[in-house]
This record gives sequence, C-alpha cells and structure tokens, in this order.
Amino acid sequence: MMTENITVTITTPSDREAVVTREFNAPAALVFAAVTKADLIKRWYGAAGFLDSCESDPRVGGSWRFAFTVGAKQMAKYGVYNEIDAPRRFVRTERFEGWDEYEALLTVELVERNGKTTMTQSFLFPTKELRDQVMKTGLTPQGMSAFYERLDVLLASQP
Amino acid sequence: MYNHMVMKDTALNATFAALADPTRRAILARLASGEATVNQLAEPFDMSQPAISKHLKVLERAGLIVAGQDAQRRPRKLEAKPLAEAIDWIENYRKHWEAAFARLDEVLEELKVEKQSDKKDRKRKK
Repeated sequence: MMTENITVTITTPSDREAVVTREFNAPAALVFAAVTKADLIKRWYGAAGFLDSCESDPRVGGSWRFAFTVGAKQMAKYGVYNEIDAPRRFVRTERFEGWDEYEALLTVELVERNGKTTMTQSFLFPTKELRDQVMKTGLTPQGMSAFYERLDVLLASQP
Repeated sequence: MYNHMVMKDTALNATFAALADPTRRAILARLASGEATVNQLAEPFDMSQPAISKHLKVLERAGLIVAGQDAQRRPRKLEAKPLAEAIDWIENYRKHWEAAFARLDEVLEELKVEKQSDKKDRKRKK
C-alpha cells in the first residue's frame, strides 16, 4: 500500500490531552483548506455521504457544525473558531449536541517541509475521564456504539 | 504481518461478540470478584444450567474465561488479556484517525490535480 509508511502518532502529554500527529504529502495551504473548508471536509470526514451537513466558517468567532446520523439518531458536533492563522494554525472549541459534559479545545498546527505537511491536532478535555472515553470510542459516532458502552459497564464492575 | 492482523481482528471480534450479550457480561462481572463454579454462576440468573454452560462456552472460546484445575468443580476464572486488548484505547483511537486521514490523503491528491488544471485553464484564457 502506498500509505503504509505514513503513520498516525498518538501521545498523551497530560491526563487531559490527546495529541494526534500525521504527515501529509501536500503543502500546508492545501491541508489547511481541506480541514477547514466545509465543501472539502465533506469529502473526507467520515465515509462517503456520512455527513448530513457540514458548515464551517474559519474566521475568529466563526462557527462550525457537522451533522450526521447514527442508526436512527441524528447527532451533531459544533463549536467556534477561537484562533485562525492560515495555513499554520487554528484553535476551535468542540461540543456535541445533547452531550453537555463533552467539551474540548482543539488546537491544530501545520508545519510544511519540502512540500510535505505535518499536522498536529491537540485535544484538551475538561477531565481525564472524558478524554479516556473519547479515546476508547475513537470519537467516531460509530465508535460510540453500544459495544463500548457495554464494555465500560463491564470494566467499571471490575475491582 | 497481514495474517497476524487478521488473526488479531478475529480474536477481537470474538471478544466483542461474547461481550454483546448482557448475561455474559453479568457472568464476567461476577468473575471479576473471584472464580466461581457453574452452579454459583447460574444462581443469580433465571436460567438452566445448560443455558449457562452455553454462555460459558462462548466466553471460553473468546478466551475471556478459563476453567480451573479442580476437575470436580471446574471453577471458571476471568482472563484479563483479551479484555485489555479489546480496550486498547490508543490503538482504537489511532485506527480511527488512520481511516480518516487515508480519505484526507485522497482528497489532497484530488485537490493537487484540480489546482493543476485550474492553472492550465488560466493560461489558456490568457
């Protein structure tokens, strides 16, 4: 496979953080556009046709919202861009509709070298428990499936 | 390496399939506090011993429990390793991003081509 040597690195620098790093074979401007422009996000975020709608206004104070359906349930992630420094960096808040305790601050940094770009996504969560929950499920709506919830219940019952 | 991955996936599927049933999860929860015989495990459930034995077999096949040495009682014990593998958080999280980024790679390649043809169009117009 062509992408075999390109790997995602995950680190947890503190109890409330998860950092995801990956190199892309494209200049920073393209990567920045692909992760902030609604029409481009739609093309890669989730499998084809996964997002019911996608809005993104990458300006300071601008909002974003991704809506999708899991089973029969409609869900949405949303938030506000706090910082924009294209094509190097942006910071945005992340919340889930109907999941009040969930709140994350996402800082994305792009470093271009020789036409390739390293993207670092740092998620800061309010608590360690929430971060662990997010990492367990992969934070995909699919990942939030009953399987992992059941697993949580089971593990909570362990000494 | 590919075979190893497939084997690992199959093992995980067995783990998740075993965990999908509430009775089996209750059995595991019970075993988390110490080993127990089939009779002891059947007690809290409104279920026949053969029915419980069936669940135990599924859990055994998934490697989640093992039968103890005592030939008469054969107490069942929890095996923690498959559970730990099933909740290898960082691995799950990494897989999620790997899948998302593989799609992003494709979009970036498409964008490069689109940009290239934009330039050509502009040149032609000039």
